[in-house]
Amino acid sequence: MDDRFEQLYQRHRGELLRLAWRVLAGRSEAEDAVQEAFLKLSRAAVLERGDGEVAAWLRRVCINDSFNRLRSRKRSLARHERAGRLEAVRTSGEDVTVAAAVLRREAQDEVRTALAGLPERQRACLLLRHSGYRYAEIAAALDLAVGSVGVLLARAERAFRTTYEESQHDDLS
Amino acid sequence: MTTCPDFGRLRAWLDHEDEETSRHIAACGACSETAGALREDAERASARLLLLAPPENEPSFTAPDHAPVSVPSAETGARRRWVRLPSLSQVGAAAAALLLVVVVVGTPGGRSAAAAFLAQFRSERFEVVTFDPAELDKGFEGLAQLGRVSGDFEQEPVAVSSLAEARRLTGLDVSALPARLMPNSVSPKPIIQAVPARTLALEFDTARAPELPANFDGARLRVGVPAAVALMYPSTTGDGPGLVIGEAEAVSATVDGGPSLAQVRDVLLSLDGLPESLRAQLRAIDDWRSTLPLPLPTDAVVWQDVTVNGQPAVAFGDESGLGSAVLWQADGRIRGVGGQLPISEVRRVADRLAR
Repeated sequence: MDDRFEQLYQRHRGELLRLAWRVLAGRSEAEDAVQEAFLKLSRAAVLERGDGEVAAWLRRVCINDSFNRLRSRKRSLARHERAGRLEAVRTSGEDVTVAAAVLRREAQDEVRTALAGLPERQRACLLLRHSGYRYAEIAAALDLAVGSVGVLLARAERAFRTTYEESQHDDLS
Repeated sequence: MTTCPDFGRLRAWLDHEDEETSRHIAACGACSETAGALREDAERASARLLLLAPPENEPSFTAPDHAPVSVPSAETGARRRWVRLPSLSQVGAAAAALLLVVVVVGTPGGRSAAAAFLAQFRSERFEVVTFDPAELDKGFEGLAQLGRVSGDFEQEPVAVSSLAEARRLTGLDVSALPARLMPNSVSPKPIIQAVPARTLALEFDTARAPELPANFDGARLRVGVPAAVALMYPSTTGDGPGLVIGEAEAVSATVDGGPSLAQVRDVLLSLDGLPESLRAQLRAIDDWRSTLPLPLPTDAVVWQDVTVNGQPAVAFGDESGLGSAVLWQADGRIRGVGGQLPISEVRRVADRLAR
């Protein structure tokens, strides 16, 4: 079992890290989310199942854990958010203007906020599809029939667009 | 299809076109409108979610990618192969569209494998053939075993200052991308690159290859590598080209001297060291006089057969936005669109450019 767990870790760590990064935008937090997913896997009955089912389970757990972390981070850091972004940019050493980097981070946060406001399945479907996962993989991760992915995706994209555009409108009003 | 597909199926059709749904949409105004609205939602979501893409140079992401599973046949009637694409994150799939012909016959790794197979009169369409580079390295000596190879294999595209200069260099009259087709994530001012046409030649030598029929001695196989122009629109959200539009003339091949083109093809396909799977794929191309094989390394590229404005095309990449491209031939020209965009966005631009 140890060998199999190691193989699963090596095979899926990279893709899970990319998924978590999209939600959390930070390496350390994304790694924490991935490690948490594997920690849960080590105690989960799904580990006895086939590799495809384990992969689907890992993606679902990792995405949910990432959004949970995003929510708790927003609560605890809300007051220091802007100052923190500025400081992070100032100390990053990147050859970009501070203003441009801050705007980019703000744009990313707006997308993440809109994503986090969607129902759980919709946001996971949207994240997976626009990360390059195929319908069969999304169906497995969300425990859906493949034929239902299109419906869920269409609803998720419409809801995302509405939520995102409303937030932009609110900011302007 | 007599009844209208539900919107879930229409949404799936945007990612995996199937002929039956395409025919229905073409004939049904309501479904066409719904599909248009769904496409707009998808494109908006895609453009925004692209902002969340992780940095490409993050070392933690170099761990093995997730293993793809087979695609259910209900999703698409077209051929579809999935393999991993490690190089796209570094050079972008735009490179695939950007002068792919030059890459095929001009790179050290590709020329011995690829130039040998350009045994058709004039290319009108593509056919992807896959090969394992490790197998090719085992014993395939390329064309040098048959005679003397000549021509400029190393010529690189050069940057030019204007479309007029590109036209003077190549004879190709390429237009800039209209503003209405410009994705939000690219800058409107392109970097222009051009490469003039050239000829690569193989002069058969029976002293070097005694197994060749006598009428091959001194005959020359000449492969016309076309002039090409690429417009590279920088990304506004990251490094590298956000969108690349490429155009080239068709590839051509002729034989001067004794043997026919068909005889030359037979000889090339019987070369020692050619992997058997590749040999079989090449032999299976029926209309070989007008089909340009695209040799792609196994486990290096994601590709699928698609259409661009009704023309057969090959698409590379996926919806991740890391890099994708589509390549097709029409009106005697090879055309390509690629960039750090989801494949649906690249295909949208290609479709509209092709109209």
